[in-house]
Amino acid sequence: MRPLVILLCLASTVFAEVDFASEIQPILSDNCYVCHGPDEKSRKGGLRLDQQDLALKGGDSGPAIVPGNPSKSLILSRINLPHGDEDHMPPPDKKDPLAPKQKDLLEQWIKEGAKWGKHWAFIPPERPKLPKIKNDAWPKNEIDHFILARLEAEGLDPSSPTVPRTLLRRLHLDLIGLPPSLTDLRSFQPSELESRIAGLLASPHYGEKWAREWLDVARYADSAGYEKDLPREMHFYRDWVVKALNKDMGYDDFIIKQIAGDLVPDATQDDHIATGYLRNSMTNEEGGAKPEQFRIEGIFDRVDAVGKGILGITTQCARCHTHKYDPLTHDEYYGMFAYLNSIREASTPAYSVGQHTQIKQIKKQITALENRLKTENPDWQVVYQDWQDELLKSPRTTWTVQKIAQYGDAGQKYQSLPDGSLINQGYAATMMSAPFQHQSSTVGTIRSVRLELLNDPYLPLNGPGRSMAGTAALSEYLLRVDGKDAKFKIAHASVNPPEAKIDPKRYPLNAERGPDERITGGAQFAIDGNHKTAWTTDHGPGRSNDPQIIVMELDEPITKAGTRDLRTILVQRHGGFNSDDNQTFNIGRFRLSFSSQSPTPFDTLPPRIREALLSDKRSPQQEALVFSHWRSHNPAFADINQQIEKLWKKHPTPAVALVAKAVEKPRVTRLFERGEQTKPQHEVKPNTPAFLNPLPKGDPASRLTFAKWLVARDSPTTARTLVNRIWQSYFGTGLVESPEDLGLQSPRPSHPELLDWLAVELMENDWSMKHIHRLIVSSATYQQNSAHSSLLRERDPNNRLLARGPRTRVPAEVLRDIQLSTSGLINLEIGGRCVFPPAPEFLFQKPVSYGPKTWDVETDSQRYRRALYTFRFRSVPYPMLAVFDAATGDAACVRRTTSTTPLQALTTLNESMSVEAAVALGARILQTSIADAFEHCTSRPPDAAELSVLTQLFESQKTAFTSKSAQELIATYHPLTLDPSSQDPVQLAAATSVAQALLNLDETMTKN
Amino acid sequence: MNFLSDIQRAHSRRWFLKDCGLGLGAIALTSLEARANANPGNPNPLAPKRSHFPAKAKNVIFLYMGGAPSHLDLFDYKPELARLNGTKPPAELLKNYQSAFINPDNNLLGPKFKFKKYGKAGTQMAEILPHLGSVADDIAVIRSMHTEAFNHAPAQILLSTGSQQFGRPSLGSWVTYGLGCDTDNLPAFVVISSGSKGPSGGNANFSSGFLPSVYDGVQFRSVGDPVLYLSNPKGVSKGNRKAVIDAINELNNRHFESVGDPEIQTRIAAYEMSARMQDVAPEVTDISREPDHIQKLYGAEPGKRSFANNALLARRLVERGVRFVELFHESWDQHGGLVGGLKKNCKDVDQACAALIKDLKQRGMLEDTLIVFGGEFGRTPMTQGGTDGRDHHPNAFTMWLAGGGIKGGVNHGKTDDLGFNAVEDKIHIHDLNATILHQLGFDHEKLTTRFQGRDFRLTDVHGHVIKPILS
Repeated sequence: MRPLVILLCLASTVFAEVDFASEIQPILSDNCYVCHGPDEKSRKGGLRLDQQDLALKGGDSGPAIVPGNPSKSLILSRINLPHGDEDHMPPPDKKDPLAPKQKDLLEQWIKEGAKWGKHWAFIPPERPKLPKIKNDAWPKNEIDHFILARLEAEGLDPSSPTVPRTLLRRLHLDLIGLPPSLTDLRSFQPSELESRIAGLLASPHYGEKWAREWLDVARYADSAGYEKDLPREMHFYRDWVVKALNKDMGYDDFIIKQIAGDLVPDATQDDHIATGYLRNSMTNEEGGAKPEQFRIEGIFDRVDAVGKGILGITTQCARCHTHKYDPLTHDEYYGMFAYLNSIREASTPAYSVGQHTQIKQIKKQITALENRLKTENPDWQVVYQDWQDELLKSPRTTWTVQKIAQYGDAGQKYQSLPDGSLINQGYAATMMSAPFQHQSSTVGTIRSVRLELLNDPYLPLNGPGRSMAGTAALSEYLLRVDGKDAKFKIAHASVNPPEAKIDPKRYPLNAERGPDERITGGAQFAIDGNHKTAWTTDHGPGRSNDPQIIVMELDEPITKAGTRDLRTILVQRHGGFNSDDNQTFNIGRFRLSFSSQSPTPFDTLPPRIREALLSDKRSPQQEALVFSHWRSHNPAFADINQQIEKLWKKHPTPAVALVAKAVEKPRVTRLFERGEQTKPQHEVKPNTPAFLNPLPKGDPASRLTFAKWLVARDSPTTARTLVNRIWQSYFGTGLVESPEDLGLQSPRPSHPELLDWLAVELMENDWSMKHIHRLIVSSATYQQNSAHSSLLRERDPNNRLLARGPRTRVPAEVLRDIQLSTSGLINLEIGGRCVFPPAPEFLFQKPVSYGPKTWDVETDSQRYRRALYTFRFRSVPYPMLAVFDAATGDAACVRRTTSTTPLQALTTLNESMSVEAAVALGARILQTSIADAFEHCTSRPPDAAELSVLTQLFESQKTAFTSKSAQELIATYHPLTLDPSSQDPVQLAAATSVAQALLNLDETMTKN
Repeated sequence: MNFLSDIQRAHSRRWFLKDCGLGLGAIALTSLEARANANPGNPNPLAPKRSHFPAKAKNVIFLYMGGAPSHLDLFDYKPELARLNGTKPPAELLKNYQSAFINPDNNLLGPKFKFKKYGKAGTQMAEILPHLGSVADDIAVIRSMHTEAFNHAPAQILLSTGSQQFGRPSLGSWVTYGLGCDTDNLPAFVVISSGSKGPSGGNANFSSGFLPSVYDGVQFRSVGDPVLYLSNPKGVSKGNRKAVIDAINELNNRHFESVGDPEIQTRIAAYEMSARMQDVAPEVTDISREPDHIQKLYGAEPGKRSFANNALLARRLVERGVRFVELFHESWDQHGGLVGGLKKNCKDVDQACAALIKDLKQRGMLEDTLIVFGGEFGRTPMTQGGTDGRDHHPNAFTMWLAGGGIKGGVNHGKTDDLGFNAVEDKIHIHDLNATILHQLGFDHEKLTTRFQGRDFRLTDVHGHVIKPILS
């Protein structure tokens, strides 16, 4: 049989026509397109070789390609010149000459008529026929036909199936990222393979494992990046990904929700949370940063992430100029940019299911109390109505909004908005005095000053402040008249929280503290001349994000105000004690007005109450608001009010989830020359690249349309990109080696038809990712033995042909989870806030970290959560994960490198969590046996020789440890959940050494 | 199964290292065999590699003055600025000028220190840099640096990686990617921090970006454990550890015999190297082993966290074959407290920088060690908040280089009379990077890596070697 196969192969290579897309275009792209490609600006000699008609037409020197006539084709004569010749192509100083084989191919192709074709990845995939194979018995499903056909063509045999236990471990590591337990291993019968696979795919840990893969692509991290690298609360997004994968949400919906969840009909909290994908971009809040500059940087990052992670095309080049290889123009880049440009960087309070229930209960109880009030006071309606009438009758003050502008050299930036308000963006100083110059006041006499604190979606939880909860604190309001501060006699505010000491030290815990106390409370604190006291909008969770108002009356009116130098200074000194603190209580958005009259009670109503009172037709919500306001300000109801206040205090504190929302009026997008923001050119409307699928006809130019376009059935690259990345995760390398780029410069796929088959299979099965996983792990290809033979090492060192099973070191997170699982320490709780496992404190301090960061090490079993939940600072990555190549989240990462370094050895041998795991596994060894521990780590029992190595190690360590050194080891590293006093220290220390050996085995760290 | 012949051959590591292609990814295997084999086909990514052409410099010590030192008060004397102190800057200079903090129209602020002419070349520097002055004839001062970014994090990333976008490989990573490393026992690229803060851009300043992660900068410390997780756990002795590693390696070897994956050999080598690093690193970082007169030369005080200690450590590292040492000293962001801040910073770094040059010179190491000194941008000729501070300024700043084939006593490039714009022989970060690579024997246009379908390089599509400063 074999000689015949070889003959057939030879025949196919000799007689088939040269294929443009796979054989010619890569040569042209690699060697010619930089100067003769899509980019007009860098084009030389008027010649373009990436389009058929233009290539045939030729450039300044004449036709480059004459079909059927190699001798008249300039392209050939130029590449065949001696390399030193200045007319040689490619230019001798830029590139090496073409290889003889490449020259032959070009010549042959021209001889055959220079037939053109589209790059394979830009044609939507169609289901290919299964290739013919000889060994019909081998395949377990369609995947194997493609793999085997290639192997047979290469004259290679697949490897035998791997042993069942190794396969089971492989499945566990791949599908849920955790090793099988001893019971799993020992009970496993090959006949139940299918049900085990189904069980793993149904496990909630499946979502955790595959979420981590997506979070790399989504450039997820728990901090903002750049200099300040402030912590973020993104874990609701992370949990959304886990849940979406667990319920096998179709990849199309999965993408639509992340790109435009806020725009889907009846968007839920989850749908909004999903848009966190767009918010994983870094944000720069260092002093002096221009908010708009970094908003645009964020959009560049989003286009990059969508390109690499979803479309599988590289877009970065086209930010500055038309792509040199792929047919992506400079304009088309900004067409995609335009879809993402009209995003508001907002936040939403995110509550867990339990918290939602709690809130419902609180609100129910409040309603019950309010109903009781009504029952107990049958005349309430009369009193309520009288109160309203009186209020509405009270005289109205005339307010004139003041035009003011920031001055001075501060790092924070205020931007004017059309309604006369100012918004504070970018750098959030912790202690500052923001000075503003008034433009000549039109109010003749100033008797009162009004400061409205307003909501804005840009602010945390809508504001009105910039603290983590969106609250603000005004230490002092100063009106400087001709250089002298005016005196106020009284201040009234729409909210007057009780006096409280605040502790602005939530982040970072360890920053240097100042000696002074910070007190907050009611309106009077804003004019009391004491900068340590402040009026605050902080009214507790659940009701601190309404607009508020403070009105201050001057001691003496200021006359002839228009002729004076008027300045407003907002003293805000209630944030952290120094610029390294992350907490601020700055006012986010405000508007300032003057009046020549004294304020009335109407002026200090909370803005939403005032609006409701003045409304012709109150909504039920407005009615409830007004009623609550009335009863809470009526001393007759003190008892019930007090009870309600108590209930409010129980209101849970939400996480501040970053989300994307649409701006009301889409922003105008302009093309940036050379990608530079300072060089905006013509306007570009939202649009998508012409070489990809068309936009759905008639849909509005919205982000939702863009999202749907990304995952349209006729997208040539989206499904291929996903299945390729999944394949890469199983086998170490994708079918296309460059998952971020399926374009012209990408290496040829190892199995192009399999890639298409999988892509179509995905789409025809409702984009079910679990379906693809099931297919891959059920294939004979995946289930092969992974051992290397010398033949394969020589023929296919990187296992691209897959004549053996995959053998790769597990990702950083899986490695941590293996340590925690085999030692029994692992806490398998799913979801929730991030956790802080042990890490050296100095990493989070200056001068290693830019500023101090909080790393509050967990003191209970939270410390043993899966690595997925470890808090990720972008600027200080968690060292154990970083050293094993985890992504930082600075940019989308679709392919991690896999390194093997001595620093890794130092980490798994010396890092405290690794040692804790070893102590715990050591304790297990003493309870069970070395052989059991070995089996748990590697999935197989040790052979006699291996066991003897380990037993000898145990014996020798028992004498090598002294009782003192053993005690020192155990006392320092015993896990929180283990009582060390129950063990003989020397025995436990010796067993710990054995456990360290086991946890550091290549076999333990590797998917075998 | 046809492993039998393999098994027989695999008994010899020597065979493995000589004959077997280590195909997979990035491998930090360092071994005597691999070193002897220094050639482009060597599978070890950190094995010494040949450069494009014969190099002038073998190693680099980058003195990264984070926060951005004021060129106007230290290196670039502007009598005109002194004369116009307290007056408004010319309006035409400010056209299209963006500042980070200040109103650009703030008054001009004259230099805060007296300047002196140092050395035969008469290099002008502030009198608070007397030590650097004493080696003026060994350094080339570039006064016409300019950059694009004017916020710390983006500007630092630009200086470190040639791009404001995060995710690109840093200079040190490119250099070790190009040259490998001359030591089996220490990392190729070492980073040490001092000063009042950490680097603004965080670890991205010394990240390998899209190069394999073996080219990441490794952080060292001059106090405590010199390398993260270097020390054995408390209670674990050297003997304990050796027995554990022996057992690991024996079991790994046995497993290699049955599965034949070359990666296992790489792991074995990594564990061996980790043990060697445990021996070598504490010795290298122990600067108290230096004779008194050397410690004095630097102003080093063992046990303290200081730039001086780090500078001395840098020399020790380079001496032992570390390719690229980067000292971050983030202390130079004088928006206020300019005079006091600069005095303190100069006290902290002036002597140590000069000592590094002198020390390397007396050891004959200066000629193949390239020293680079500077920050991410300059500072405004205009004042900030009173008369004792300056804002960020990308249009002009100063850096200096020494050793590694750099001509001493050179004053290159000029700024205008106010030190506002670089006007003569303008030098961009890309030009600096092109020059550093050139001194190491690389054509910066040809040191590339394929990523996202194109060949990336440190200098993007820019960069010209600064020929006039080369010896």
